[in-house]
Amino acid sequence: MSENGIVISSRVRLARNIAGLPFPSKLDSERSLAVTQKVYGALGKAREHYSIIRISDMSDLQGEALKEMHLISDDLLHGNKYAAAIMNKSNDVCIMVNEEDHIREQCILPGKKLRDAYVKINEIDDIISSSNKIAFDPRLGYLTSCPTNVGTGMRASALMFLPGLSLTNSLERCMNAVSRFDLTVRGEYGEGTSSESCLYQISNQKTLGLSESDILANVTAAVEQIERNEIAARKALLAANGTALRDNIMRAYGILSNAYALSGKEFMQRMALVKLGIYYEFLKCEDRDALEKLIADVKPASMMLKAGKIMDGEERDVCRAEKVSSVVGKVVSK
Amino acid sequence: MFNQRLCDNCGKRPAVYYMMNVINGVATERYLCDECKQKLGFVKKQPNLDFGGFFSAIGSPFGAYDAKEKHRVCPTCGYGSGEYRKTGFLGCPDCYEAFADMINPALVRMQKDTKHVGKSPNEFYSPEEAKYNELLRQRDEAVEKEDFALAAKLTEEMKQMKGGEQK
Ligand SMILES: [Zn+2]
Ligand SMILES: [Zn+2]
Repeated sequence: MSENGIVISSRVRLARNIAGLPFPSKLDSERSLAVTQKVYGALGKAREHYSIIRISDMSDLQGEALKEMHLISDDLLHGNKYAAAIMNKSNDVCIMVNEEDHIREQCILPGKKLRDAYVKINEIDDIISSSNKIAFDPRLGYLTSCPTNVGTGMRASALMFLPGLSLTNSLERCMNAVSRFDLTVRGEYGEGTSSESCLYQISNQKTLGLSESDILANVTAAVEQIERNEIAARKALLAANGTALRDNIMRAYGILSNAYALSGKEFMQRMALVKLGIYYEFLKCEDRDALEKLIADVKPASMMLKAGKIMDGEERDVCRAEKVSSVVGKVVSK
Repeated sequence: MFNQRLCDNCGKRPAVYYMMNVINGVATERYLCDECKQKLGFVKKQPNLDFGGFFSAIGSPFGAYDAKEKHRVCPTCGYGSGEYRKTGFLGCPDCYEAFADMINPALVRMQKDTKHVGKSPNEFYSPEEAKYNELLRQRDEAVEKEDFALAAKLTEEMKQMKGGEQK
């Protein structure tokens, strides 16, 4: 994570297809399996060890947990029967096979590391393309199942924590200021969370007519400008409502440290305030990675997978509160 | 201090989904609830099927609809132009050529470009494959210039290669 905790993670995804085959939604089972084998086979040459999980062999809970970790998509879980996910041990590289495209290579790294993520996934792309003939047209670039990805097939995105811009209602103004970069901003709150988590995904919109390094430079420039605006907004927020803000933050800290049951939504809301409190130095935190890990660990499927059982909403809220108070109690202090 | 934002579409349920697109310098924001998000096709429940509603709401980005337009089929995979129009997805890489007249104007609108710059996989072809592709390109060029003698010579060269390495 970056020093100020604003850029939580960086991700680069490359969409590729094998030449001479229909796209996955039109691909019969025999050839779908062949695609999986060809892609996985190629990775034998990679420096790291990769393991493969076929979607059909995955439990529902496992699938949901991987989705919560942003490693795989809903489309992969519910599309082609022979879809698979190929991952390295540290889970920072995940290759989806037979999703919307035959091959979706992605690397996700904590913090502001778009370029590192690209270097890593580009190396994997070289390995996969060296033993597979990739669908490519000299004019249109990499051919993808949807023309919105054609060209580089690349999506570079950063997950940003923007409580200052959200609370001062200045997100829209800020995005207009970075509009020259042709971006998409998404706030995807998912089950058990809500807009109060203040998490936004910034990514490039254009994939054709810009090189990979142009895209990285554009997204990075936009992310840095948004980061500067977020810092300014946090200053303004503090100047305008110092006492109320600090009171809200300390109450949130009190609740996270002591609650007996916590819904996912309430947790995200209070956690956003606690993280803001750490930024303002109202609170001390000795291990911010542990906080980010906690956020991932208390999502419903991940929590149940770890507990090894299905829990109803009430049980989950109790289990969540227990984990939260334990971690927050350990790494956050006044 | 947090006020829950309501869904832009129904104005009733709380928004759980936020999306902003910045295209040509104009930002458009959407806050949607889960139900409206699905209704408007932001979620692909069954892959490739739910886009119709979304595009009819915002106008198809995949080419203006022309009622007189003939239904066409990709010769390689059998995918229809109507299906592409409806879903925004293609059947196989060759569909780009088969439906070029529909796709290219849409690319100009969506991407503001029609020419790829950046990485290409060619450098990873075996030398034989790269040579074959180069011959193929030269032959297409020759045909375009109506230099059929050269084209025939190149075709002969390619045939000889095919006996060897070419898969
Ligand atoms: Zn709604
Ligand atoms: Zn086709």
